[in-house]
Amino acid sequence: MKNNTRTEDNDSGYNTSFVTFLGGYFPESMTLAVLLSIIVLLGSLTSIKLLEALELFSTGFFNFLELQMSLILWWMLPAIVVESERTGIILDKITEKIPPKEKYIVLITFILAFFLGWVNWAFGLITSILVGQKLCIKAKNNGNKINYHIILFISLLSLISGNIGITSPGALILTENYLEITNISIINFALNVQNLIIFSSMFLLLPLLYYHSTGKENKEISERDLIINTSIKEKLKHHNIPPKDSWVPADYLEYSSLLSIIAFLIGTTSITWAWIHGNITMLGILFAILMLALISQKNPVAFMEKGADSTKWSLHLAIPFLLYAGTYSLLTKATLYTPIKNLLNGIPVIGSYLIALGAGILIPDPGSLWFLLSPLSEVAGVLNSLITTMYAAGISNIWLGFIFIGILGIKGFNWKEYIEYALLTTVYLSIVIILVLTLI
Amino acid sequence: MSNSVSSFFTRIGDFSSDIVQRYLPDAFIFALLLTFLTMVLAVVFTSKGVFDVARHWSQGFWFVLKFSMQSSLALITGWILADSPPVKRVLNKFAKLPSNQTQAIFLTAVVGQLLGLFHWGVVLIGSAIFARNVGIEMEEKDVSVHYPLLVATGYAGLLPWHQGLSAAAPLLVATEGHFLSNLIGIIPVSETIFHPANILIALSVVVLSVIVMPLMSPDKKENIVSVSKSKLEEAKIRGRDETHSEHKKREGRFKSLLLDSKILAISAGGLVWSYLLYLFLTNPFMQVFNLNIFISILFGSGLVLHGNLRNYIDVLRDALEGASQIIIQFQFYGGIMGIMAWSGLGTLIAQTAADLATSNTWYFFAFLASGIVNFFVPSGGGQWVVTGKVLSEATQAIAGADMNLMIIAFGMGDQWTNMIQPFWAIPVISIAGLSIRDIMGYCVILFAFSGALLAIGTLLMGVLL
Repeated sequence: MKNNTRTEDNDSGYNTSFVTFLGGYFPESMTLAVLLSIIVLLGSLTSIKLLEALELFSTGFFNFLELQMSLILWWMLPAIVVESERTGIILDKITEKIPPKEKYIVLITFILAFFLGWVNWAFGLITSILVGQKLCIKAKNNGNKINYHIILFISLLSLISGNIGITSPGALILTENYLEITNISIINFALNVQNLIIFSSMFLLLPLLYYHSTGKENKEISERDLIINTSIKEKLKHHNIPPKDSWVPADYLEYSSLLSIIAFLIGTTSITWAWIHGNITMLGILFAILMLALISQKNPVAFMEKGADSTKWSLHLAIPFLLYAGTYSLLTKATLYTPIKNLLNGIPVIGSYLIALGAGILIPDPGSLWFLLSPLSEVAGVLNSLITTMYAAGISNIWLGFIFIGILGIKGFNWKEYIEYALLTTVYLSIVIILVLTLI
Repeated sequence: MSNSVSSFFTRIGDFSSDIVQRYLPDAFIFALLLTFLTMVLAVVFTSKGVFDVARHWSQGFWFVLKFSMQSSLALITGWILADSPPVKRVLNKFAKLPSNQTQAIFLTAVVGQLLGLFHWGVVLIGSAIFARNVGIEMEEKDVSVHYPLLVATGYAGLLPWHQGLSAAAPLLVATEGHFLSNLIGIIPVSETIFHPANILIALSVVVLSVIVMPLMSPDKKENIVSVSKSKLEEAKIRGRDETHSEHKKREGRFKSLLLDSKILAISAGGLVWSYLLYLFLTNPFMQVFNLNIFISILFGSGLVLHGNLRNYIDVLRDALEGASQIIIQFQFYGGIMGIMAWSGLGTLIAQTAADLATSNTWYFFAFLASGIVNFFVPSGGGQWVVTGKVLSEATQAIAGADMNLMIIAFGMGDQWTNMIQPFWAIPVISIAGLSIRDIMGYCVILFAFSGALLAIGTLLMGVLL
């Protein structure tokens, strides 16, 4: 990865880039989780005794350990699949085939962010950012003018498509018995008519964003954002095998891809059988992604090394979840969901959506957001609530895009321009979501 | 005489470590190979076909999902706590006590064994952190200490766990309504953990460990591997608190205020502790202490002792990365457990042991069967679930055999093979920054000696009691 810190002080745009600027105001999800849980603890004292409140605050997470691990794996495992040399080779092949012209670059970034994102968040986000950037560099070298800002923003829209597709965390939670609400199959959610209509309407965002960006200057990729030096494969290469003459017998096992292949074959046979004879569940999906992760990395050691690295994607969730679970337990026991439900009664869809949008800024993890808001689903119905919450989580994640994009080492463009795009996306999608869920 | 004994142990320690360094692959490869071996054994020795076994694998894969989260949280919160300035000061004070290699390893062994007798979760985190700090302190004092042996010694603290206060099977059978209560009734801990035979054997294991581990210290300078430079640097940087200054420059005031606020972190931790204090003051400690409560203790203490969220979050990044092996690898053991349980392989091993036994040898065979099954099902409680029924029925069928003594023998077998099974060593090596190859050679030696001791113990139990 290119070392960006060397140029920070000389780069006038560094401090105003949206990752640096907006990130400088976000007090970390852990801090927000602490604040949220303490406020709820104080609020709960109106209904329950202090001792009980303290118990729930301190031990509320005991009942949700499986959910917590599933959510951590939901972030980690797909990242292991994508951030691999083998995936890099495929992405390089894609970039070779695409002419370095703006319309093609926008189209391929859009396809990756939307359709691969619909399959999984990491497949959409990481691939579209890497392919988009590689093509922008190629275009720049060919002397073609490219609107990199829009391309980067399109990649970030995968944070929405990842929440409403076939690995939507909220919907996957409902395939297990983690919460005491009606289970919904992932297919019923992903192929739900309202969900698909809203998803299709996102295609219109493209011309809207483009129209809005017309006239803006300096839309090219800046030096500080360059994370690909030669090829995507090189960028994603993280594991070096030492020369064979230095190997000891154990190394032959450690660097053997055969072990990964055998595990992959047994695993895929097993999970295919399970899916044919039963339901698709969150743990089943995670198992399948784990098998993909094994085969996408060069050998088992590379898989484990990337596994350690991919924990960076779950940083905003790992410990804060303890506090979310405490908050959930307090809200439930102190019946604090009831006044919120009463508020929502007149405006179930709009109300659910707005609450999720606001809470999504405090809770960056979409799965945790659904976990906390799921008791409100009684008002608008589980499916409607799930759709509004997952879209709201995605949209609030756009506002928190600096968290995710910052992990990849990108600083982004000017924060004011970023806010304009985020605002446009929020307003447009909010109208569509409310209209579709209210009228259809 | 003492020199020749010491030299003997040094040589076998070096030899075993060399062999393991050459032939033992990474813990994850070990888990993969063990998975394949279990599959083959299940297909060969049970009535299950290839597809059945493959199915059991994915079905059981998430068997230990909850437990893997508990273990990850114990590691993460324990790591964060150990990295807080007050805890570091205390640990460093103790870590400074030894003045040579033998003393350093002896002290680590004593701390590890005591923690192991107290709680299996505490020993994995506590002794690893202690060994790491002793290694760093010794290096800073310019005293050569073989770091892999030091960490192996910390890990060896797990050896007496199933005879200690957190012993899973004895605690389980002492609990009202446990899953075998119709078969064996309730067996109080006075007949298991606090049985004189158990106490005597556990103490022998402790004495053996604190003697054998220091004796393996390498005497040649070229055989000594000190704590890595990166670990030293990491410790120094944290000591100077330099990591924040770059980020702080670009922060908004509100963010800085929240992250540096003492009130926020201490009050959150204080709230956790206020409940815990009430819990401990109103209940017998060992009755309410469990892994979840342990995590709460570590979490609350970490918040209080770091004093602000900035420091807490800063350490969290490293701690979470350190837990990655647990997050992923533990699931593979879940898969192995699935095959063992659903294919009937676990039951078959226990049944075979029962068929071979007499009243004199039954505890020995129960110990042996438990040791073998533990290799595939490392969780003590999980293993009791898989084989407890068969072992209990066999005990009832063998005239003169006592249920409580079988449970003691079961625990001894379970804890014994932990010394050659990398599963439990994963959190330890994550904290220490070593690979399984570095420490397992020394554990193998302890495994051999403790195996002999425990085997004699079980045979004597059969003959004398």
